[in-house]
Amino acid sequence: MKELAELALDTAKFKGASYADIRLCRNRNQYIFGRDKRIETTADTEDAGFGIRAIVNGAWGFASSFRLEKEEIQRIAALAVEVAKASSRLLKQPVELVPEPAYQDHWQSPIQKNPFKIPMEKKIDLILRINEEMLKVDGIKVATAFLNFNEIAKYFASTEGSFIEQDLMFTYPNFTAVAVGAGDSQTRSIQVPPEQKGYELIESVDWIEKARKTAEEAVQKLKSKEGTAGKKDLILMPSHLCLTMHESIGHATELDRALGWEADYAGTTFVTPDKLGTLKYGSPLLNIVGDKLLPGALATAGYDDDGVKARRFFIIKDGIFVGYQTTRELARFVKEKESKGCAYADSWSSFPLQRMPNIWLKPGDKPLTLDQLISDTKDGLLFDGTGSFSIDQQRYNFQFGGDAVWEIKDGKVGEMVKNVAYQSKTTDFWGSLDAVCSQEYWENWGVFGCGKGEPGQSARMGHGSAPARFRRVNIISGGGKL
Amino acid sequence: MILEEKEIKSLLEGIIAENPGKEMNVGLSANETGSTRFANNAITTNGVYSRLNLYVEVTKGKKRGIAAVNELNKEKIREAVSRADALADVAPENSELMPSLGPQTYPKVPALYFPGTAEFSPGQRADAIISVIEKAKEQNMTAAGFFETSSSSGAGLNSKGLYYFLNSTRSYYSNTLKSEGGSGWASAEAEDVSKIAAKELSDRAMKKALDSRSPKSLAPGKYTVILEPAAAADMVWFLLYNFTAREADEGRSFLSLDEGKNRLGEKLVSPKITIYSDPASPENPAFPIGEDGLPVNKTVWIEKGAVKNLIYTRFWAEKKGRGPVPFPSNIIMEGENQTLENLIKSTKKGVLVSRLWYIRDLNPMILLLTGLTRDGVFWIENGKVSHPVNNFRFNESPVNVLRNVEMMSRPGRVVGGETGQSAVIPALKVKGFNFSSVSDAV
Repeated sequence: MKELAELALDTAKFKGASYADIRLCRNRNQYIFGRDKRIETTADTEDAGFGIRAIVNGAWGFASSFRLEKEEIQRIAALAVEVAKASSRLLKQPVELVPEPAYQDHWQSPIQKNPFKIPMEKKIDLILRINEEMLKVDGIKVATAFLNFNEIAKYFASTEGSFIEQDLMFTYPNFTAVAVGAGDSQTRSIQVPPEQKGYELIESVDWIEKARKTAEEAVQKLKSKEGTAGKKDLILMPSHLCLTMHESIGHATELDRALGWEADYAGTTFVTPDKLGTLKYGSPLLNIVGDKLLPGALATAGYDDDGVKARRFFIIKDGIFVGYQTTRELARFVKEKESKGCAYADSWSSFPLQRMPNIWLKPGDKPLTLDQLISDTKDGLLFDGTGSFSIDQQRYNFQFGGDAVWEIKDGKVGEMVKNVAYQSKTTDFWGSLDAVCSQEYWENWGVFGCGKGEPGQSARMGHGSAPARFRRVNIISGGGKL
Repeated sequence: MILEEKEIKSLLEGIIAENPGKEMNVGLSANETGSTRFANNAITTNGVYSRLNLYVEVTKGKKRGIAAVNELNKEKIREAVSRADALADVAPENSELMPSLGPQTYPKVPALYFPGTAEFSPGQRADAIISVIEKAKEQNMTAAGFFETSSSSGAGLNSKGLYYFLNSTRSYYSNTLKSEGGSGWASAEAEDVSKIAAKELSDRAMKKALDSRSPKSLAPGKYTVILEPAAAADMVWFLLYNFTAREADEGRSFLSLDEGKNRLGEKLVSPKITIYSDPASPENPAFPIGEDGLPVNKTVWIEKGAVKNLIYTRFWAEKKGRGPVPFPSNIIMEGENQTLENLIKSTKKGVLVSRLWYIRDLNPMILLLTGLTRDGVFWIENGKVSHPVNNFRFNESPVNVLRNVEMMSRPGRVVGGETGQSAVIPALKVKGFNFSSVSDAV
């Protein structure tokens, strides 16, 4: 691997690159899908290749190929240089990378059981048993399930002397029950997050118990009343809050968006650089950490795709916006001397973009249980799991539904309600945060398929929190008839 | 091209021949793409990508295993076959698994492959972008965008003799122009890159960016709305995404009726509406090959307001005693002999919407969608565009949109701003469109 990498870097330098790096990756994916006690898909796929970035005359060029051969590596390195030359005709500011030490290292996801070594029969059996348990519940019409295991071997080398090997493993279980009746249909999913773990994640869950409860809740949801519009206090569980954080804080504090680099597609952000250090993003309870170190979280790695060592940093501290997510290229635009390590490419064939690290909400400092939080809430809704989600291209106006929603009346969890969502404006919403449960309620969740960039790339990141309360948020009803 | 048809066919035949007696489907896709992004009046990233996928499916009665690799050496190919074979062994019987198809006849479609697109270089992309950026600078605007050209080969072969091969090219250009307080967007897709008029698309986006400066505030509510074709395309694609017979028959869709029935044949929307898909469309030629290698023929989805067809998988079609209807590869919606200007002229009070964004399902039983407007929203008064207004979130169903269409322009080919999928579609004038809140985004 090192020999191929050196060949690429030497070729790029020889052709005129002032900087070059190469990522050689192998990606294996196992996907098993079942429905109604039948296995519809058993797939085991693999893909390998390399991508070379080069800077020439201050401009980036990138080329990639699936042919892992010496001649092809030389051709692609030369092509990356040629592409950079074409880009340099339209240069506004030359690319400058903030310094980062060179590393020779190996890092791997701290897994206990390699999912690819677990017999397929065992995985199939689990899916069938969960399907069966869900379908035993009266009112469940459809039960679907998938198990997805993904292993990535990544080798990064740069002309600055880094040679970094990383082995990552992801496990993503998903089980859903669909209840149908009386002209309606509602779904409920087992709430277990995808993580950067091995098969131990699957073995740590009592799936059959969860399957039964989930299916029963799907039926309850079907029979529940329609939610009504109005202002309510919200208690958002970590399984739900992960996506609200992701969309309204994670994407909003990406520096490439703030600089206009995503203007044509994903959009820009209301969090413009002049607001760094001053913007009141939310209440003083809002402390958001960007983190590539969090064990088991989806964006955790030893190094990012710029070869920057993983780190942890504040994005929002005591409610004030204090830090963007950056890469080696972006850091200087906010006068920072080092990168926050947020470069990521979803494949060997993709150009690394600034992507979200794990982003999480710090738990409350004072002891606060979920029961206490509920007891202290008179007129609210409790959201568990994620539902419909949508946010504008500058991250002001959002609307989120949930996987399951319950009323809270006079300090007690009451009936389930269906077809509700909340709408708010980012800073109003986070400004209304008035309680966060303490550390023992903190859970790490995540987003497995976050889209960004042109051509589009998909990324994964963890989002942890404890249950949190937001005061008087606007609820909308999504019910009705055609 | 990465590989010639002869080479691909021989490779696939070799795999089948090496495994006599096995029921197999094998496929190969290869793609070369070049793309350039720009933002803040400069190129930001520029790349060339070369990808390949070899797909192997082994079927044993009602059991199937799938494997894929992207290396074409013998060892890797054998490994893929062996993995698929082992998976087929351990997979339990799937009562819904359909047998592999034999040879099929595909509809003839207009040319999908243009050498000029396949050979389009980074320098040529830069030339087009430079002219856009220079004009943006003259106008004190900033331009951001994306220009991509690609060529692809796709082939499939199975042990029952089904074979297809298709070469295609695609070019896509999108740009967003920002003025002080305004934003405009335009995009286009074509098989032949010479049909991408970057200058015209940048002029259109520039005009929107200028016209949308300093928007006045407009309260949310129900309005008569004119959806420009790109916005209409997103709404109609979301309708078609949900046009599946099985979900309808299982009581899980807006197309469901009681007792396992569906709305096939029902007058669902305005009698003005006719929507079909046709890979042989000269305006929007598309792939004629669908699920399992099924031919994708012209399919009418809605005719004069009535539901004419739903998407039927092979299994569901057999269960219901019908022929399969694959997922559409394009959308063609009939319009009226009007221009967008005529739609505006006919509107006493209304809102003109350029683009929709971040659309998601909220309630599948009424196909309630939520999403936002973007890159130019305008108030229309007494037949004229009066002034720009703020962006909105909408909570609305495409079924209601198509029920409430009052007037349509002539259709044209566009790409949906949210779905990224192309359609030949008119601008729609729609009454009672529900904007649920204001978005401060510009």
